[in-house]
Amino acid sequence: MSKKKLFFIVAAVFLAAWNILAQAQQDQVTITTYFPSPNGVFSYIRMSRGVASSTLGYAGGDGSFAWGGANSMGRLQGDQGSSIEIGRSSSAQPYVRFNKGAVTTRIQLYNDNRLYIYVLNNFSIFNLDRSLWKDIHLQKIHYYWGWTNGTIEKANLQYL
Amino acid sequence: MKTIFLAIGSVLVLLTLSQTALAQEQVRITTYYPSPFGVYSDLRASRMAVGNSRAFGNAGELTWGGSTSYGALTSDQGASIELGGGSSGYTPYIDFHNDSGDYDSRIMLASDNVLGIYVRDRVEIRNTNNPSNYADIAVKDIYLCT
Repeated sequence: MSKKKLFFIVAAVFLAAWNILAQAQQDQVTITTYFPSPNGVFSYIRMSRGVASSTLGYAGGDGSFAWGGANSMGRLQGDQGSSIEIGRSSSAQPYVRFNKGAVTTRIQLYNDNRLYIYVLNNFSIFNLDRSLWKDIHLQKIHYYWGWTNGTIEKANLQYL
Repeated sequence: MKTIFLAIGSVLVLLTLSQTALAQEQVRITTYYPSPFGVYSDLRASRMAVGNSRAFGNAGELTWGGSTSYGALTSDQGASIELGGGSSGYTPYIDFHNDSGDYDSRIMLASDNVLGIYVRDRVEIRNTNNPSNYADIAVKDIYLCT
């Protein structure tokens, strides 16, 4: 075998091996993305609308926010500037609770058509700086005094 | 024979170069930071604003509504709520639901300086620790209306 032949054979083998290696070295790039990130800590978040639930739908359009579990009607919405809806579509007793340490007061929809206000002492209606009591307009007053219960209403009153 | 070897060698060189060129990849990755839509398991923020034009509140607060809204879950007094907005015509409310219909009860700023409690049956004032007992109410004048 001449030197030339040997050279060309060696060169051919070398190039063939290089070709095989070049194919073998093709990179496989795996990119794992989270869209979006499942957890996060942010300084500021702005959203057009939001939901704090894995099952609820959006409460409305821009500026609305829904929260709660199944059938929740909890909504922060832009109606009348900004308003709140609480409760759910069945068997609910939604409430707003005011906590001051262990002392709590709450306003709760106890059952159909009855709104209860729970206080430890009394429920007062004040002017804004609490310097004066303010008026209340009612239909009837039901009073419960020991075993004596009664009703005060306009039809039963006489002018003094 | 020499020519054959040269030809084979040239082909191999060309094949090798072409394979190398084909192996070059162009990868384009487009990221959104933050993503415009999303479902999160846990999300914590110092401040949140819901609404494209609603201003941010302070740390620990969530604001919502439009540009004139005062709606805020605030950190004042631990945690408080503000409702309404800058328009004199607003009548902000809290609605209580217990079925799929419209609200069952409502507390609403009915008009200037008038807070209305709307119920179909009645309002009861009860003792927190003993809910079977009623509690007192303190007011100035009582107007009995029909």
